[in-house]
Amino acid sequence: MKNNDRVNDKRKIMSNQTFEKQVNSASSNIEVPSFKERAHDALQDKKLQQALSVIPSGFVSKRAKAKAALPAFSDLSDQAVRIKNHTLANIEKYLEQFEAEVQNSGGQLHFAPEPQDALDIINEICSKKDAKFIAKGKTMVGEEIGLTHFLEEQGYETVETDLGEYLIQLRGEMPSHIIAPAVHLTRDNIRKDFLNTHKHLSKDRNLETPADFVKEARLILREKFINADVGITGANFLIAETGSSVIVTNEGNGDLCQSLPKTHIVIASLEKLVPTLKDTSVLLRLLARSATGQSISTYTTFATGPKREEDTSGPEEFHIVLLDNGRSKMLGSEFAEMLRCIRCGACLNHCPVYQNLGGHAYGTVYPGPMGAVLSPHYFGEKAKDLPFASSFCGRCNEVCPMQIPLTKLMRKLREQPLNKRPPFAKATMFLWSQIAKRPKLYNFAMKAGLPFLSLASKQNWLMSIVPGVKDWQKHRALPEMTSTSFQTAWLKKEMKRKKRAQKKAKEQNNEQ
Amino acid sequence: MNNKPQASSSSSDRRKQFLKNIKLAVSQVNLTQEQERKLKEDTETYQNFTYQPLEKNVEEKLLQFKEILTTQSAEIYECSETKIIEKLEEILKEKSYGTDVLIGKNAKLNQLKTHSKNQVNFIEVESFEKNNENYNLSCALTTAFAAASETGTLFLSSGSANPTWLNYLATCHIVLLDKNTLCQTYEQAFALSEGRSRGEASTSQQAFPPRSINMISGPSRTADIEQTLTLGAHGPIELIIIIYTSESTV
Repeated sequence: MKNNDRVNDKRKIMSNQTFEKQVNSASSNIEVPSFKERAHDALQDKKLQQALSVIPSGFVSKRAKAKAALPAFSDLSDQAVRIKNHTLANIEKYLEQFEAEVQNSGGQLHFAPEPQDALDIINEICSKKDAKFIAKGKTMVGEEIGLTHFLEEQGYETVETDLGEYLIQLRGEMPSHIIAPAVHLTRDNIRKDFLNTHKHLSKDRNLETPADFVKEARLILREKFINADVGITGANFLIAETGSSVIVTNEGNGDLCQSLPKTHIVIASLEKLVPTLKDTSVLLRLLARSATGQSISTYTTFATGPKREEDTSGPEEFHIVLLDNGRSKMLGSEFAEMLRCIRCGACLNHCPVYQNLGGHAYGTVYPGPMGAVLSPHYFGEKAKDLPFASSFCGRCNEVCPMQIPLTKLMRKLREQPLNKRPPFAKATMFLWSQIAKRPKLYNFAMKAGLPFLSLASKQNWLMSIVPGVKDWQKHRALPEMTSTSFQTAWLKKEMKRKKRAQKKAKEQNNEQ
Repeated sequence: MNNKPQASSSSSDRRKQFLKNIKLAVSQVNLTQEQERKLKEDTETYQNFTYQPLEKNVEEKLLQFKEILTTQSAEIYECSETKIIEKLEEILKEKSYGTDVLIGKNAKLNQLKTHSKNQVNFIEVESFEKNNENYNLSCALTTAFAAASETGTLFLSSGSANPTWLNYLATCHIVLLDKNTLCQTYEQAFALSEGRSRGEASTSQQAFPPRSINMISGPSRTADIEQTLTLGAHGPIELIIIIYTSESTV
């Protein structure tokens, strides 16, 4: 039962907005579980573990193949870093150009310093258009500000049209992966949700193969596209020289969202800006290969302004809502490099912590190494323990096409005052540092302690009498240890060697 | 870390606040000399970069294009420009899709059709209407202005000849591609649209960029159900490409 409550709590922290509302309203005593607690739950969840087991064979191996098939990959990656660094260094200029170009092509650019601004702007557009139905493409920035939930609250019938997003919308969950939001679900989960939601369909219908599910979702969602008054999409890139927004999808849902309804709203954050179309081509080559291991996603679409006068179809209005929400602060800080992120998800897929826990354990919409750096910036206090959700193995640094030093940034976050270590840990570290600075004392301590550790590595219960290691020991066993330290053993050997050398020298002397 | 200022209300206030935050951030950027030097160097080299894979000739491009698109579950046919309608009929028959095909205001296709006595029935659509039954049709045909062989990608642009939604709503999407417009890289393909010298059957010379440019590299797909690739998520289940050689070869 307690477990269930925790799962519900997890759902409640769907996003910044909903979370804050929860906390503010009735000052309820919902306690947000810590990363540690959520991680514990995730490891116990057999269904989740089953769902996660496909990640290494899927994303990881496919990415390796796709990268190997493109000899220029690392050159392109170097160039991509230059593109983003250059853009960020000249962000004011490119923002100005982007704004002018959006207006030139007949679109409108709205600035949203804070999440609430973005929500208000979108609400205003929708209410002006007298919208009832809204079809939403997948947008992580939308997730970040709790857009869908907000629109539903305002009374718009809002449907997520990316299949993964739709699946989690049915469950009231947040995405567990930035490019595969429903990666934590198995067919059993989905079957239950479909039977509960699509009640007008026959109860005995076949829901076995993935194709069965996809077919049903296609049928249901098609109607939503066709009836939508407003389509909302995210953006993978915003191009300054043309005022375009670019989306990348495999399903084509984003394209229907932005071609059928009369109004198209793009919600995107400021670091999506790139100077030119040419730059976009460079980044596109890295994105899909790093994300799903495809050489390119099925659909990449550039939207510029509303429909032209001579066009027979297309949206009549085109809005771009540009969100800051903490990004400008990052820009001026030592975390600026994080703004290069193109949200491919490679760091999630390759992270041993993510692979074992899935995304929900992180408690925010951005999980994995990238989330461990971003979430504390966007969500503050409640994501403060995420920089500790890493073993610092460094695979994330290696696979990042934008060469973001993720572990370095996590380490910096760990040092921040927000992340004060508990007094006991602090005292222990202090004591250790004092001993380590004094070689004689250190050697003495090792000599004294090792026989005990050696015994404890064979008799695990012995560790339980040492204060402070209980938690550590829960999931780990001591490696088997010898009772002497390397230094002692080496010294012994060295003495023997010297003795032998002396003996030899003596013998030689005698012979002479 | 995240102390939130009160949300401002008017759009000009928001704009002001937004740009002020950026300005402040830029003034706070504190680079070491080494970083400064690197950034300067990057800005210089950044401008000079061009993606240049080993250049392929027409036949090599075609081979690469076909190979990649086939692995991405598309079907490819080739014919001469005058035989397009015949080819189309053949495909429709083979797949038993009937004779109806949705098209935009495509003068060229209609012209081609009058020259043949075949039974393909083009249905011209204009705007998308919520209660129009046409979206249930199985086949739609549009034309690509270019293609890039590097990833088997078609480039289509919106316009009255090519309403964007036609690319996505039909079960089977058929795309016409002039072999002369088959490029190797994305950059080359975009350049064709920017130049717009060809004006593919469209009535007007639109300014670049059009409302939509669609890069399409296969039929619609999803892996959201247990990471299993499944075709036909929301868009077409089938993508068929007819590559034609035009009489007026460049």
